Amino acid sequence: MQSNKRVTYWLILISAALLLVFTGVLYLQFHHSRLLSSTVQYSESNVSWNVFQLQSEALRFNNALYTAVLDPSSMDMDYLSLRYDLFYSRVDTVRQNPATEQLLEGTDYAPIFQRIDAFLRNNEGYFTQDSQQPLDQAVIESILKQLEPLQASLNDLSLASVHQSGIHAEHRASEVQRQIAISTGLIVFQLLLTLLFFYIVIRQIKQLQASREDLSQLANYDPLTSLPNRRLFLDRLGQEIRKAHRTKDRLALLFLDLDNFKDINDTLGHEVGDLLLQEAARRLGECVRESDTVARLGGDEFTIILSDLDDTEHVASISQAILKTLSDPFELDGREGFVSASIGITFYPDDANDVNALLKNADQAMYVAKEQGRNRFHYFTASMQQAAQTKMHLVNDLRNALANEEFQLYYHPIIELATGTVHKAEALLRWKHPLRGIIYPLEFIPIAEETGLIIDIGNWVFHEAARQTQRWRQQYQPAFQVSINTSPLQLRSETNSLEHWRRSLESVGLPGNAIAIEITESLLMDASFTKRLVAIHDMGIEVSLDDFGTGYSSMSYLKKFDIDYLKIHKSFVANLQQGASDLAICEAVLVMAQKLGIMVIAEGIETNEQQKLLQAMGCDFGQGYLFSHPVSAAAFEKLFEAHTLSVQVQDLG
Amino acid sequence: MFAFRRMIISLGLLFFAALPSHAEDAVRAKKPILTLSGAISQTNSDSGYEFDMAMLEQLPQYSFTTSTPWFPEPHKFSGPLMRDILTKVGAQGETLTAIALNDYKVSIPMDNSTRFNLIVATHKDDKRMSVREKGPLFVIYPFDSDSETQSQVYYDQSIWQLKAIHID
Repeated sequence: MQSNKRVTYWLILISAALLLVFTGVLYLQFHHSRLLSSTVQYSESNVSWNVFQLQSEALRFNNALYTAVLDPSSMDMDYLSLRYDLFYSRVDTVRQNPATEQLLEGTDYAPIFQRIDAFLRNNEGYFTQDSQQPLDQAVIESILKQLEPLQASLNDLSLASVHQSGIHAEHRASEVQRQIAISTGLIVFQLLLTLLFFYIVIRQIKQLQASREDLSQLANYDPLTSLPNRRLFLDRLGQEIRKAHRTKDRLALLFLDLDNFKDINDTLGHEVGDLLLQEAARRLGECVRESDTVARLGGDEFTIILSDLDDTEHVASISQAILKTLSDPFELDGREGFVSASIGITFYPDDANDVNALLKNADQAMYVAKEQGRNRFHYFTASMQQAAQTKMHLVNDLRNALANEEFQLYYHPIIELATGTVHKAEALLRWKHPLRGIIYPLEFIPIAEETGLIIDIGNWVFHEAARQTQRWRQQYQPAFQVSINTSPLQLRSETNSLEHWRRSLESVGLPGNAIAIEITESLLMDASFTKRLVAIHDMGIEVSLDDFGTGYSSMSYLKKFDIDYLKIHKSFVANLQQGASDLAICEAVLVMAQKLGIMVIAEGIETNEQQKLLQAMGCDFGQGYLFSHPVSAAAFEKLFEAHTLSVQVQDLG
Repeated sequence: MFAFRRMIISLGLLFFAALPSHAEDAVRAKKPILTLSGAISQTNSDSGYEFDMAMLEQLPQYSFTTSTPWFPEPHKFSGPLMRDILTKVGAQGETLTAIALNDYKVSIPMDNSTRFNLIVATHKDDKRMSVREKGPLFVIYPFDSDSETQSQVYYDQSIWQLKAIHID
């Protein structure tokens, strides 16, 4: 405030100075123009001319008098009077020139003119209009005698005036130069003052803007955590709702409350509590995207807006991540602190349409989470909550499933169509849930992939299949091969599944070619997969491309990657009949595969006709309910015992 | 209007030129104070056309008040317009050479007599001017009403104690 006042004084001072300088410059300009005006210049330049003319008139008057002395008979009084008058007028002309006094200063101008005046006074009588008598010789001689010294003086004055004019012109020039220099100095000073003025004004404006920004920061942000405060949060939520309404998107509002923050505040003090809030705020920020809003409503209450949601599932994983990151110990001024959080989740537009209702929903849901034992999240909607709980339980159960030996492999026979014999089988994973019974891969594999459990499960599947194959090879068919489905995640470079498989094969003493792994086309789009495919082949394991025809089915992949089997998707097989386009597709695939040396397995054969058609086209292997449902290992052994499998329907499942 | 007037003048000149010199109706100056000579079609004496004060006062009078470099205060000057005098003598030329009693000479472009209200002042402040007062005739431009004339060129052309004008 004080500095503002000082700045104002400065500005007033500068303004006043500017005004003064401006006036000064204006005055100088005016002075210049006056000095240089034609009238003044004319008068000045005329002074010495006037004196010269006076001198010359004196001479002419003198000559006229001489003429009169020499020839008195022809004396012309009119002419003498005229010469006298002209001389007289010249005296006045010199005297009336405003520049005379100044320019002839320092010369004998004044005494000479006093003498001229005296001369005119003395002789006035002889030349007036009414006394036109010819003059006496003696009078003329006396006049001539008086005139003589005047002429000499006028000559001196004339010379002096020329000299003075030169000096004056020089003075004038230097005066003008001096004034121009002063003007220039003043103008430069003026310029500097103006610059200073603008500098101060601009600085002041910047300060004003900065303080306005500070105010807006204070008004909209929580000073402790630098997160948006309640005010800005409500504003943003309103905005996001409008945006979501426009784009028909969904957004989630999370209400988060730290579970035992009060204890930490009470036992470790407010300063430590503040540190924890700051760290918690930082961790929350790391769990969400840049475009999401994390706000602190006050105390230990936070809200999070997640916008542009494609599915509600994502919110659960974010919530899970938040719970996890907050459960990590907090480093608080040398001590460790532990907190957990309860989160309430609500969705726009599913649960509510406006800011207040959404906030109320999320708050309620958060309380439910607290009541249910804290360190968890809870949805506002019952069905959502149901789904979330189901999934959560499933995740928990899946974690225990391996240890509890709840997984089981079923085998779906693969028939050599030419002979009708079983040479291969596809291993299919089943989860025997203690409460829910059998759960199919479609339901739990995505969760296994999401949680990363897929690696362990995949390894178990491989080992179990290898073990089983080894047994069957010894007992029934030495060339028996089992194909195993894999998840792309298992074949990522950072997992060491291949190493694990190698050890499994070694431990059960099985050659690699007893196993075929089924991969999906999407894997082939990953260029780095080539290397792993080579490694797989090096172990002797064969590779089967699953679901061929449903994805990109790029021929170039087939050429680029060394594939052993193609599996035609059951949707093509289902529509097989004479003249159908799917027949043509199957035929084309078969021809192509034969040329490339790839064997083909047709999936989903359900009728004899399909089987016959495929066989006629030269399809190597078939799989489907026509032959058998997937069966347990024990049931599969019965198949071996039957030795060959009839092409007739023999449902052993 | 001017074209018409010029035509009348030209016709008149032709007519007069055909006549013997010294037009009979031309008045001779009793006591000449201004003599015009050179390219003029009218004459009233051997030396050209002579005016005395009365003749000049008979021409249309024009007056204005102006400040000058020669008097500290503004003064009222009156007298005939230069162009009226020139018309009167049938002047046909481009340059006027004005000559003063002291033989000071100056050239005045003839155009100036039509471009400006240039007068041959016979009166200053309604009084005749003596030789001592730069009279009796003072060629003067309307400096104050026509700022273009406020320059050395026109100050120099403002000749006082005028006695003759020669037209080329």
